[in-house]
Amino acid sequence: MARAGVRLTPLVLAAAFAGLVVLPIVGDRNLAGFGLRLLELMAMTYSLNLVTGFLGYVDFGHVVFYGIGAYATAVALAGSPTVAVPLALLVVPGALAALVFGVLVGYPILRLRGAYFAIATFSIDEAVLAIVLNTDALGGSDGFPLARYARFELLHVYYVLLGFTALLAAASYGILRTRVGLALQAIREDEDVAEAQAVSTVPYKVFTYALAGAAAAVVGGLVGVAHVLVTPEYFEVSKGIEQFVIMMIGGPGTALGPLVGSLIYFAIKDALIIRYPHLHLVFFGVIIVLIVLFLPAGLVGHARERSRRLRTLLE
Amino acid sequence: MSAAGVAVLDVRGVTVRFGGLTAVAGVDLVVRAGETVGLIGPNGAGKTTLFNVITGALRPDAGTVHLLGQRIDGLRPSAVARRGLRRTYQIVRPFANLSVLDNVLLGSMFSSSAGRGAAAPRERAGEMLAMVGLADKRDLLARDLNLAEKKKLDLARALAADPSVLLLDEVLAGLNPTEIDRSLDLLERLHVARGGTIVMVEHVMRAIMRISHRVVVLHHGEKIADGPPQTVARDPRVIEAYLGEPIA
Repeated sequence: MARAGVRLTPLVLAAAFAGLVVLPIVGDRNLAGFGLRLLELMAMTYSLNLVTGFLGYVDFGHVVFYGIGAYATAVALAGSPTVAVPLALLVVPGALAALVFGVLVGYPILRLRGAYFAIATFSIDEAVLAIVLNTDALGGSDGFPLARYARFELLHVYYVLLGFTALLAAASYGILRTRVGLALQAIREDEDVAEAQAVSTVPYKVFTYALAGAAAAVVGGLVGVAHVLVTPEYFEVSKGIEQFVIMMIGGPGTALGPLVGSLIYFAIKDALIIRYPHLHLVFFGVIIVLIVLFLPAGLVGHARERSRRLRTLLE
Repeated sequence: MSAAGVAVLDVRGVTVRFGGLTAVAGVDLVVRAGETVGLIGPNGAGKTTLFNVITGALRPDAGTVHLLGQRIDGLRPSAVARRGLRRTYQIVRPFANLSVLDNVLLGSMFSSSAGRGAAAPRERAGEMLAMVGLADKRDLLARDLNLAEKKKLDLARALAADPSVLLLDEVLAGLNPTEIDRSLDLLERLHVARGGTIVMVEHVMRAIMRISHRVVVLHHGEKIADGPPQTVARDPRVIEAYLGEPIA
């Protein structure tokens, strides 16, 4: 049997992203707004997946990076000269801020494990939110409006985010079979054994956390620019829970999981809201419980566990 | 550098206290290059605690540990491992949700001797799996192996790193006599024959007698005997530690 034969994962990823490239062209132009929301969820799930799926650290406060990115990009946009700064460049300060924040915060809290780490991430998000709410220069609870600064077409933001999401997906796939990817997964499985096998767990953990944070900051920055308004709601933990659900549906620790999960989540959520506008969250809760009970490894993870053949095909 | 007779592992006066309990009390242990040392003693004698000090998992309250001439006590376990030391666990600890191959690949990719290229570690991992007889299970998840296979996997992961010192914590427990002999053959071929050093905690006396050049006995955290296997086995203090004092 051809062990090194077909690799399905890159093909699926390429097909999906090609579909997203043509979506606003073939469909209604309004689909860009719809697609932007899908890409936001997908990219955030890829970012969360690095910390929680690969490294095994349950991060309930991952949105803190998203919020930091949004505010940093807003400030950068407000402070940038009137000459048009490319959007891709505008999100760099946010990414750098998140990277520094991730290293400073990650180093102490990544000493905690399990529920203690999860609670710490939650608290940090709340703490940063409190600071933002009380900082007048950032608009306090009213938020930071961006309408009077340079506007970017929604479609333009869509394509930049699409490119970035594709990059995250490719990186997630590419890292899996490398020395670094193996080290992260070993830390997830048994951190003490990984350490005893010469894996320097501390730098691996801190840099994964900080880099995933920088990625989330880019997403936050792009979404802020698209909405022309950045508010304290960007730090809301419920956003993080949504990303968790998507990751659980798709399959934590896989390169396809966030893609599959966000597509399914989007489809189900829309169908439920339209049919049961008042009860959709109840049904959604039931679906989540069923997944956790019967498919704890998610759809992609489950497929991989069931068959050796699928394990070599799907990653 | 590892000429016969050089102390690869040099433990001096190591003491570990857990609250009021002294688990290891001023233990000295010198292991020379190429030597296989059996570490025995009744339950609670401090064997695993001593292992945890050597690997860096525990910081001793007193004493020093040198590996290949460099002081290693107080270093993180990964730093100790990078200097050429690997261990196995009393209760097997494979990476459960990784494939058998990936488990061993982690060992060879983070080896202290091999280069960081991609091809060599893969070959070595495949080679190790073939040696321990897990080649046909390489794509299985480690959690789907049985106990004997998991023990082999633990050993293959450690050996894949090509360590100069191997600490084996009851690697033979739970194996049948045939499997024990096979594991010992494997250790001799893959490690001892290449000049590797072993410290093994073991209760299977037949194995200790067969493979050890020297046996060290711990009792209540203290070293009570250190010598050739036959001599130690006849030492009245050792017999007393295991069986208790004779009644007057």
